[in-house]
Amino acid sequence: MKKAPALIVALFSLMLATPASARDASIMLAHGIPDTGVDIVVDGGVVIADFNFGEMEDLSAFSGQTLPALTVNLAGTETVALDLGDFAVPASGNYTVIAHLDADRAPTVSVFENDVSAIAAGEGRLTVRHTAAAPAVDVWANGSPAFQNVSNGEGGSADLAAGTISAEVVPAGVTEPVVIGPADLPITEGALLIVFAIGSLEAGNLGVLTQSISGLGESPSAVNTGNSPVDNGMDANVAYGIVLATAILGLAFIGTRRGAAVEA
Amino acid sequence: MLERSPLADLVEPVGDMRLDLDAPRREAGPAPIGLSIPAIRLDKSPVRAVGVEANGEMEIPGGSEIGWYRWSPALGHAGSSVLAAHIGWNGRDGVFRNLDDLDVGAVFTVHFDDGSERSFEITETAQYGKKDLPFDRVFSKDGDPTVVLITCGGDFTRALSSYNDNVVAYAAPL
Repeated sequence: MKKAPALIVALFSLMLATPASARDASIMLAHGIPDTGVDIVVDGGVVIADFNFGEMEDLSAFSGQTLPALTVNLAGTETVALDLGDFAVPASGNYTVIAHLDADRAPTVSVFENDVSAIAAGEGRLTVRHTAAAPAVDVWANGSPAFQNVSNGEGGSADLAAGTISAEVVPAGVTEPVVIGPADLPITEGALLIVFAIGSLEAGNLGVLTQSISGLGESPSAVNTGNSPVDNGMDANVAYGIVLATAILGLAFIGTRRGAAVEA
Repeated sequence: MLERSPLADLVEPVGDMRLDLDAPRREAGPAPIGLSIPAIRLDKSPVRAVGVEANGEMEIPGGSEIGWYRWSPALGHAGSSVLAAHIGWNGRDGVFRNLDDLDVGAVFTVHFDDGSERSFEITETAQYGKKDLPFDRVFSKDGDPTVVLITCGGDFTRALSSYNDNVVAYAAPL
């Protein structure tokens, strides 16, 4: 029993020695259950001790591996709050694994894949996730429904012009009561903001947790800084002056020729 | 009590997800409002913040103003802060008409809306075909603090009302 974890560590250490590109994954573990300190236990050993509401831990080192006998225990005890069995950690992609309440106030764990595809220049991405003990909701942004009839475990995502939006959460299909917000959310250019609705409507502790992933923005597609030609070594107004002078001279010449013709 | 797993060494704490949504936003720093480049006779030429056109190109003001790309880092901060202006606009010289006359070592000064100013020295100049512009470098959001001055150059293609090249000067804070 003592040697098994050491062997696992050795295997993981080998894996860590491989290039980062070979384990192209980001796996974050989030704690979204208010007032509940826990330990994350793998195969009988505590991997994360005293993990509290609102904290996030990076599990990317375990990507592509199976964590044997993963349990969430009440902090400092052997009381298992959640038994996740052998837990397969995704091998690639960007994921947030969050411990939260289901619609019936029971603790659960959900694995969400994050959309980290490129974001057009000037925009940011907002992802909302319903991970609260509450019925289906609508999420309003700047006075309009943005995501409708979102149930626990579901969510939505949109790319928006960078700036600030005012968001609020209401029960699905109605405009009040506002159960979360209104809150100003920063939509940062080139970044993904993930907003988790957490807590319990019944317990009166609904709220949000957020995660931000930056560096997704694209550059502008071109810098077009000239729609008319300039003459090399000659200021445009000088060039126009020469054109004008040439035209006057030309007219004068034609005038002279006409004069000559009349005379002839 | 359960024992600590050696796997714990592989887990990295990331931080707190309880974003204080009511907290004041991190100040982006003062906004640039003017640019002086003595070597090409620009004296407090007006600068304004610009973004992206619907077609994805960088927004460029008219011929007499310089656009500061609002999604680039604040001037003097990590990454590449971009100032762009026309070489020629509607038959007239643009404010960056003579940008390609600038040499390495030339100094320019950016004036900010809080009355402060900051000077930069050109460290490299380059001319690229429009398609070959190193976008990742010009619009870099990290790395050494850099200011990029950019305009057009090279041959003018009348059918497209556009120049074939971009002229770029990279500068470092003094």
